Amino acid sequence: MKRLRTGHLRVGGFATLAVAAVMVAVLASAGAATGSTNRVNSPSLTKGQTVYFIPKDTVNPYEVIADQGGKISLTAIGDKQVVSSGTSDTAAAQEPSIQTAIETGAAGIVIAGNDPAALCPELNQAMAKKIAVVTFDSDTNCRQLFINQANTQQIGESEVQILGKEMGYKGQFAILSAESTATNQNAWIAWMKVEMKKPLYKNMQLVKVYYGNDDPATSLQVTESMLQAYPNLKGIIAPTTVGISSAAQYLAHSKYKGKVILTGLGLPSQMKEYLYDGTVAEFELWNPRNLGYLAGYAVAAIASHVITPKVGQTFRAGNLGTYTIIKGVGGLQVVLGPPFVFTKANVGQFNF
Amino acid sequence: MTDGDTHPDDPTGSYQGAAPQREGGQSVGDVQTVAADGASASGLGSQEPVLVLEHASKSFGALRALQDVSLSLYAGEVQGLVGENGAGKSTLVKILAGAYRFESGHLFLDGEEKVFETTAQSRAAGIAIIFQEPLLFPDLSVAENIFMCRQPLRSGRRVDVRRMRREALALFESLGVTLSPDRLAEGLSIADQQLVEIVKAVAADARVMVMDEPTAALTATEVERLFKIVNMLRDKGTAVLFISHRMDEVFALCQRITVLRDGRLIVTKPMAEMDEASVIQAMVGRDLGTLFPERTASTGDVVLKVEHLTSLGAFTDISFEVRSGEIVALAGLAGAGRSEVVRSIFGIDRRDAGRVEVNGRELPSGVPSAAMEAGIGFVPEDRRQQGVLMNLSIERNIALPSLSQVAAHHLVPRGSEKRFAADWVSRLRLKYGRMNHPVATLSGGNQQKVVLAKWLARHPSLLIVDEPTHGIDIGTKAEVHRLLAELAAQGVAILMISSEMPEVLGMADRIVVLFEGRISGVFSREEVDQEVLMRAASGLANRAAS
Amino acid sequence: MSSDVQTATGGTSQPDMPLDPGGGGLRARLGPLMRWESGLVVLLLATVLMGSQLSSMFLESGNFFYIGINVGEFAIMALPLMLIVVTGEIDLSVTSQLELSGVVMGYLFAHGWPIAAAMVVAVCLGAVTGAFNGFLVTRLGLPSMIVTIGTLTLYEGIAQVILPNTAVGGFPAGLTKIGLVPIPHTEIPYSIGFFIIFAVITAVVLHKTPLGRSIYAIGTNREAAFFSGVHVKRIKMGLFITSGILSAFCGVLWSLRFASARYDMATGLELNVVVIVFFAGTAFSGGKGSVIGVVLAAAIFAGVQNALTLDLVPAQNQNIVIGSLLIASVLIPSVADVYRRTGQRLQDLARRRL
Repeated sequence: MKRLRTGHLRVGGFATLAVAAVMVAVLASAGAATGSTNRVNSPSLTKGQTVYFIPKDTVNPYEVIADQGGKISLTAIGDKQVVSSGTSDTAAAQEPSIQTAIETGAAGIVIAGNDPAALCPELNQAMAKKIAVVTFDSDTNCRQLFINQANTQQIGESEVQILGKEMGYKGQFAILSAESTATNQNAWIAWMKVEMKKPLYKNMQLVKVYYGNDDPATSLQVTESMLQAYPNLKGIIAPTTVGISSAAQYLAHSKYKGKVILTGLGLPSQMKEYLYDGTVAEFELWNPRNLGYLAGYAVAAIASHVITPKVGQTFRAGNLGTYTIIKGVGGLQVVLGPPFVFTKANVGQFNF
Repeated sequence: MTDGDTHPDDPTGSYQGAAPQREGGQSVGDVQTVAADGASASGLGSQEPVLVLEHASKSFGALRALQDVSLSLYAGEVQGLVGENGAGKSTLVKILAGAYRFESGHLFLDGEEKVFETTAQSRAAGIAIIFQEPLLFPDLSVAENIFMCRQPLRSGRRVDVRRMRREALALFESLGVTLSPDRLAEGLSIADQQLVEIVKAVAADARVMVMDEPTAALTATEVERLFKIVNMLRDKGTAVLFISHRMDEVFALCQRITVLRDGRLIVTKPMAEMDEASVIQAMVGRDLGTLFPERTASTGDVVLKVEHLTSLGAFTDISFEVRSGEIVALAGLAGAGRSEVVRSIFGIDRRDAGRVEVNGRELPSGVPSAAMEAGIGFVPEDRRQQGVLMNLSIERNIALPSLSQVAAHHLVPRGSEKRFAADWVSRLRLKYGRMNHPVATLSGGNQQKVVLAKWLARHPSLLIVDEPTHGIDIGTKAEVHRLLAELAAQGVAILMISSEMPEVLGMADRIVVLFEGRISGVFSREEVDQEVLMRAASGLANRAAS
Repeated sequence: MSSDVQTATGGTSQPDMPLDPGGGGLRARLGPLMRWESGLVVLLLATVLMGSQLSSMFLESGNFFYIGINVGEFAIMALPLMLIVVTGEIDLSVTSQLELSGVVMGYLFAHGWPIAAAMVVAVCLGAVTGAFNGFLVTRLGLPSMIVTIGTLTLYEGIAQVILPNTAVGGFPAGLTKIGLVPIPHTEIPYSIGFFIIFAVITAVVLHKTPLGRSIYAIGTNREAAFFSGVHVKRIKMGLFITSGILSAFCGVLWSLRFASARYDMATGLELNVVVIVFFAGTAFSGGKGSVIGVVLAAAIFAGVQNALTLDLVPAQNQNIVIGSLLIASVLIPSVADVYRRTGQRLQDLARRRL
């Protein structure tokens, strides 16, 4: 459990169900088993390498923080971080950045893919040129390692659990997602639907999945229209930082405030006021800075040939501790940790 | 100007009442008939004129639209202003309206000299212009239109709607108009729109009302109603300048008549001293001189055959033929439907009924390229908009309709357009800088030569020319006439529209006269004079038809 | 002063001089278009210079491939769009036609069609979507700006209905490598190879054929062109169809290059095409534009973007550069025009005073 403790996040007060506990136990045991390799791995990370961080776009606040985390870890290692991307969330906008990384002979690429398939030709070419390719936040079909911010299943389930608890396990709810094609969103929503099959939720009904395209204006509009379309709507899950803050903004200034339960994945800085004014009671997130921080160590470890990577290998990620590579849905991954629940009581301690 | 009350030629300031003598003494010297403006003879001499225009001249480039024209208008008179198209009537109206400024001359209102910089100043001085097609605000009520910019106000600068409505009703009553002040202007007939404009002018205390062909679009009953109102205004002391193409109207309404021709004042006389014949003679009486080439027509086969051609709302049941080597003129007043007929023949507009045959083959409706293939060339009326592509070079303009001839193996070889155009450029004696300069750099006459060249280059069997000499200088005009005569001599059939009677008479072998969309007479050159044409064009009884 | 009468009556009078206040026959001879294009050449040289200063990678062999690969499809679509703008219309739906074509190709391929057949159907679909644009514009007389903004959304909507939220891929690797490797023995990306072919064809058509003359004539004055027998509607219709076909062709290239097709894969990128077309000196009001302008504009666009990316200039700052270039491309000619016209007006005024 010690490994999940971070400088920013306190895991205390975090309650997960059995699945999460099993998950953590597996990771913890894996970490313990490879404790001896830590001392071997850390010194051998190559210094002076350049790593390209390619976020979905250069202005996404969540990924800006993740990139900062990556800079912290890479600077600690002695490597150089370059952040490069487009301004629109398309594969075409990310492609020149991958090309530049290849051309300039970067050691590694950490990318949040805008499209799981369309980036593959370029990423495969990068890997063919011995560039370490790590994905985070949004996975692609072609990479060496995916840094999973949290277990997809855990997030999907815990969102439904929080909502169910607040709704009294009764009534209609909707999901406000980002793009209809976003890999992570669709994976979480799939797990939400699995969780919904439990008898506990038999009186709850998911009416529809709405897509706000991670655009504040669209998300706001979509929130408005779902409340009009379903007057008896009792809850909304928005597993996207843009979606939840837009929905909260709408609810806070409408007659639905306090009547419609809103939860999801949000940034504490954006959601603080809605926790304080009662629009939202609880929401979740992992720490994006830690995500980038972990990605930085992961990509450096691969680029330095410390790991290959393959299942069971471990590496040390600075003050986050040691991580073990496991098999995920689309290939190899490491999991940052379970999501953290923010409430009125604890949100004041976070500044991202 | 220094002092409004002092006439520049009259430092004593005793200008009042001097106008009639002045006019008499300074009439245009070369025209014998102008001896006096007839004001005294029509019983108006005892007053002073409301409006005096003295020695006004205005030119547009080389075109002298108005030359030394003087005019006086008295309170309580309706003065007719007539003249051929292009005689300078519209220019005169626009000067009075403040839209144009004359280059030399003076304008006095109640003896006070005025210089209008804007149309608003003219309106403020009490001159109202009633156009053929008034410009009302369609989304505003009739009352709001009448009081546009002069709305009665309540406290806080709010529009006093009730008072506006009341005043509009009172005005309608005084003029015997039955219109609701509350209805929107949108959908009013042209006649009603004119009434609104007139009431607007009365509401603005206009002392001078200029009516520019107000009856052109009116029915007989509407004309009658308009006349009643004009007479009422006259009795109330308004000075009316009434412009019309229709002789009968001028004679029925006016006390005096002023005739303009070629921008010059020909005569101002009391109506009683004129008859239709003398007015028409004053309008057209010009020496045709050497402007038109000598030619003897030797006509051949029928090239163009038009049968029962009809376009709803424009013209009805038009039938005529043009033979090889023949020049046929389509005559008539502006708006009689002449341009519409030729546009329909060439396929610019679709026809609603009838047939067009060229060299025995029927043309499809609305396909200019088919008309071109059949051998028609078309020099349209609006040269700048339809005849040439102003920003395109001379050579490309001339080659445009002939590209398939210019091209070799579907490609246009370098310089081929220049070579193609060069022949016609020299034959038409085009004055230009370089062949690749845009047509916009040429004078009007030379632009017209480009239009002619581009069609002649196709060797048409029928050439349609719509106002071929409109707005071009006299020298080029003569060249164009000579060219048309040459073409006819070579066997080209020519269909010409012209608003200039001398041109029609000087060039045409046969003349088809249109009046309000129908043929009102067909004449051969020998059997016709200007008076006959003018009558036919004005819808008066035809003496001869063939 | 009556110069008209003089020139007409005097047999040996001076030819009419062009109304050029600068009085330079040279300027008139070069024409405004030539001047813009020579400006583009200078700008292209400046771009190369800037690129080599900003990054040592810029002039490296191999970078030419990357400069080209990111602009290829936009440059291809800019060719028919330039022709459409020359006739005074516009087609903003190019990228949604690209997306629809790619999605249809992917859908058919995923449903077992041979890739070649799927590609052919996708390109033919472009003719249909282009014809629909052309129908609305030429037959119903609707403004092309509004029509194609409408079909921009419409075609993307249809693409989304076909492939709601998944991407299809799995195209044969032999084809998808067009995004990764140049044409053998060259450094030219395949899309640029196609662009060169299309550019040559377009240049011949526009500058050397009766059709090209007619296209300019329509843009200069639609009415006068119609009065001269030019098939205005038929030509515009043909251009919209061409635009549809080439956009669809780019949809095939795009999908192969990204090894997948998705309904929103080119959303918003029509602006890149528009930037190239107008930066090429094509007049928004029609009548002016050239293929060489498009080639130069595409090269500058690609070069600037590549140099800035290599120099790690953030994307939003790159947008500022591209946006400024576009504004400059319309501002500079119009400032020159205002200057010319003011001069002419002063001349007219002086003449009138005489």
